[in-house]
Amino acid sequence: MSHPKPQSSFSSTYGHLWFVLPGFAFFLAVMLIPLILAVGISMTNWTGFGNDLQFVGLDNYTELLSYWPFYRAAMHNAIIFLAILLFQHTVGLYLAVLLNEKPRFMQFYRTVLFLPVIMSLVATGFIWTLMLSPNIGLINPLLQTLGLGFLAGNWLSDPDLALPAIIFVTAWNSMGWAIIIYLSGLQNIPEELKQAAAMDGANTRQIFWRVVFPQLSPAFTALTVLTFIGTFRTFDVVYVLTGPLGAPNFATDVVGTLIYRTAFGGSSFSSADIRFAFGLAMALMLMLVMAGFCYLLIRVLRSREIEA
Amino acid sequence: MSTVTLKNLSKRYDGAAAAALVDLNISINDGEFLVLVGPSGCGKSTALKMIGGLEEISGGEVYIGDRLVNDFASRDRDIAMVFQSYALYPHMSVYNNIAFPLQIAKVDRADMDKRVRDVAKILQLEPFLDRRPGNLSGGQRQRVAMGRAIVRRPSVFLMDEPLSNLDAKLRVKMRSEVARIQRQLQVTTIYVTHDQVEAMTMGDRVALMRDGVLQQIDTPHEIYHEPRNTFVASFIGSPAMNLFRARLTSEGDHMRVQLGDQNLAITTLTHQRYPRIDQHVNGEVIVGIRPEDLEDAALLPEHPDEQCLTAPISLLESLGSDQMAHVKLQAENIRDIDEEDEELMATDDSDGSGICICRFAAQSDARVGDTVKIAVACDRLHFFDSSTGLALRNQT
Amino acid sequence: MNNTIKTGLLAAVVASSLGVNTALIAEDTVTLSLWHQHPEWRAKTQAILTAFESEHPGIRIELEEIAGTNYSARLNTALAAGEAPDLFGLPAGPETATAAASGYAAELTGLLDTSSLREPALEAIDNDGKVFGAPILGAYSVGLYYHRDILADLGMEPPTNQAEFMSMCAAMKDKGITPLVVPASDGIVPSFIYMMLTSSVMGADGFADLRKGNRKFTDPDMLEAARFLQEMADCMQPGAVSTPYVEGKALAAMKRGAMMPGGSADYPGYQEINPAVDLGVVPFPGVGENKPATVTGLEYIYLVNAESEHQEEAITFLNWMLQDKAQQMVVDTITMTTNRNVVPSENRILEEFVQAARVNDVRVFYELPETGSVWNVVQQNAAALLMGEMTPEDFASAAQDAVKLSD
Repeated sequence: MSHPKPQSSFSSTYGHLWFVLPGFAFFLAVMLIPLILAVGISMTNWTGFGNDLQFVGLDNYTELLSYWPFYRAAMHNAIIFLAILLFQHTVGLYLAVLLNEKPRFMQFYRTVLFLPVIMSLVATGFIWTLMLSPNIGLINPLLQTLGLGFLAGNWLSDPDLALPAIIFVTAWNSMGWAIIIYLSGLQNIPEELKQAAAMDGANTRQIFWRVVFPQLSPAFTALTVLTFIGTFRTFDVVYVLTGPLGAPNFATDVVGTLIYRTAFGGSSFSSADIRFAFGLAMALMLMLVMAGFCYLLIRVLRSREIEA
Repeated sequence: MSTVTLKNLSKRYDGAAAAALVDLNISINDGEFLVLVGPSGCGKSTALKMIGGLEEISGGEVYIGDRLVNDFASRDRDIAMVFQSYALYPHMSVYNNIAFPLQIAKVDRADMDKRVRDVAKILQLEPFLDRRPGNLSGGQRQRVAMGRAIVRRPSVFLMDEPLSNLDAKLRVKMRSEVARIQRQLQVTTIYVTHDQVEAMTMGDRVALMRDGVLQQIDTPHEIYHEPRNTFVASFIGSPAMNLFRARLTSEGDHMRVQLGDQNLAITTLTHQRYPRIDQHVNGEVIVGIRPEDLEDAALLPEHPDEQCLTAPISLLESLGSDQMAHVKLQAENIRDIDEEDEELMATDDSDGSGICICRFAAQSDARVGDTVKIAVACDRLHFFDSSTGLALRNQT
Repeated sequence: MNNTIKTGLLAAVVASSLGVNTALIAEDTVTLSLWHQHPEWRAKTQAILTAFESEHPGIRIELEEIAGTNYSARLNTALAAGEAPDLFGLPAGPETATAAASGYAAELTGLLDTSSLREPALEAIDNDGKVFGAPILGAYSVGLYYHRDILADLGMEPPTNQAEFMSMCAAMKDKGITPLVVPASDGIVPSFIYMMLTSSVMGADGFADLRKGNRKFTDPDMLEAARFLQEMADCMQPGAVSTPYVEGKALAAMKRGAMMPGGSADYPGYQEINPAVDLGVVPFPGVGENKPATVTGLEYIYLVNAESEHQEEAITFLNWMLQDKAQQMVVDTITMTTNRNVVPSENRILEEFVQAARVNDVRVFYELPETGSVWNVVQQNAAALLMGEMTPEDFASAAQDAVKLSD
């Protein structure tokens, strides 16, 4: 029998880190190592095909700075972000407030409103493509039946309507998040606080805007950041609804589809324009910009939250 | 400043078997401090919320002054409320918390500032005006809540257990503080608590409720010394009044109360206070003796023998100032209180004996196991009907 | 052992366990994986594979169908990762050359029995004297499909030139019929139309000139091809620029339009959707007074993965596929063959394609190194041209800029 060794000062200080190791190893294997490799590859001219590559330094990044399709795509992401943000903080919040009144069939409404979130966006996106089609879709005939035929349109092929259509489907899909996050925020507000405000003379509107809404700022922050991340990495909705080229004529092209085309190709016949390393540079640039923007967003939004 | 009148106020929640509040009738005078007290679930908070307009009124009427306010929204009733949780607005500074009702009322800025600072001064909150509630201690938060209530100078204060979240020491301090402020402002106040000490120390009058029914409304002195029934008798006072099933006997003019194999003389004074015991001669009654009316006879050599009991001590708790002696009497305990927070639970022995708690002076040399002679202050005995629990007084 | 080493070891263990070898090990039977990009042919392709397996009990082919839009991304990634199947299809020409140069494809020169192949196919699979792939699923031509019953009802004949096409288009629109179904969301079908239109102007010889730089997309007569394509936009179904391929194919099959550009290999798909479909095929109408034209390419040719452990069996399979028996199945059930000994026994549409291709047939751009990139540029700009956001001149010059002249 050996004597138990006295605990070294090292292991008493850092011993607990052992417990992080399995998680860290996994993170290392699936996140950090690929990320480092990606950074390396983004500094080459590798097409994604073969072993023919040269180190080109930051050439891909400098090219990216003046690569206008990237800005066009990023602008579309930004428009989607702002629209979804507006939508979630108005319609989403309003629906959450309604649900918080605990209406009859609340469970039912909540389930229905959250359902799109848990359904596969590829599947639902495909259904939307079919519904929005001017040839076989349900939406235009529906509008006509309702006497709103003048509203019928070529939803996905009219350059003025295609991005709004993408926004609409994204909003439909993501509203459940807004509702759930706001609802949980609302449910954390003690009833007595609203009663106190009522006692203090506030009417319903004043109670909401002066007492309830300020307490939702953590929910506001969370939702804004999640929406930012979600809309800037959007891919599936666009790919399914308007294809890898962001039809019509790139009117719905987002950074996600641009990266996909650049790194993997948008055609099944020719890989002549595939530039994997350049695509990676785009993806990493997007990640960097997003991380920076998220940091700013969180700092600004957190500062107006209540220190509890 | 206003009176508050409740007429047959009732509450029944949907789907509930029993009513939460039954025909509550109380007239609260202008400037009065009324305490609503009772065990949890007795309907006191419900009544308060109905007065405040936070709870639908199922039946009856609430008047503030001479206005029937049943259909008024909270904000139109000219009342302020202090909540158990304080309900401070966490995103506002102390200043803005206090100023909030004035901001809503669009009070002129300079006037508002003056009033907020006046209130802060009364409540000693001046150093904290810029802080958020999250950075305050419990007592400070409590005072902010008070400040928010008083800054509006409402006709009525409603307070819903405002001290129950404070630690014991602070509670004692704030008790007198709240009472002081109320007297200073002379605003009609309805104060809900489950703590009978708060009720006794703070209220001009105390309304004791049970199961939605008002049991007694009186001054603290009356409610302590002239409990209307066994529930009031046992709820008010700590330790609770000892209640025993007993028989009344009579020898000429002298009545005696038989507790097991011992008996006590009923003095003329007691007889005058409880004239209806006459109807129960040779019958069963409930006799009530407060612990402080039971003293170690060794310390009172003059005490007449016919006003003494003898019993073994089963437990002795010293509180420093006094000693609580638990003695065993050959008589059946009566309990008319089902609260779990009852301090000293006397247990019934199945052999028909019961525990009686006596408050002996610290000088007593009694020891556990001793059989001691106990001097009973027979002038202060209480008698209740054995079946209804009502005091055997001439009640109106 | 210090902590860094331990961490590293653990990471290595985790990493290696993530890449677990999932190869199936079956006794005596060799399993070859094969990726293909026409899910709509699955039943027919599988029938051919089953016939092979019954003759070669020791070899099993595991077919994985990947939709065309995802195919190249999946395959390229798998090739780069060393996870590609034993057999994979690629377009003949530059794509095959790149795969060979990258060391992904095994050289098959001299290992294939190409004796039955027609000359153009032999030419197409030749890379400077080396062979890397076998055209086992034949070839296709692209022309114009039309619903024979719709045209008969209207008393019309299929169009042969621009004027005829445009007047038919106007007449059909007056009657509420969609003249031409074009799924343009991914730009592929418009690119085929543009290839056919330019081919009608330049012909096969002109294409050779174009690759040498003696002919340009921007030549005045060639510009007319881009103009015609733009003009044609009004004849397409609503929302053509965002219509996905599957929807377009379904619309065409369900007679929601009178005509549609399509290839010989598309026919099984139309039948799948609508068994009662009654189609005919003509070459695509010519630009101006030019002859109508078709374009022809090989179906993806099949390459053997250089890293495959079963190259011998894979070559056995390719040789079997090149034989008359397999090619008869291809031509009878799927598309045209490149085998000179085989003629379709029961496929009228293929007969019509063969007829159509006799007029003016040009090879598809993407099979040739000089015009490989033209395909991409045309594909990306097609929507802009159709929507009028790009002029025919700009469109043509962008295409011309993508031509890489051989030295």
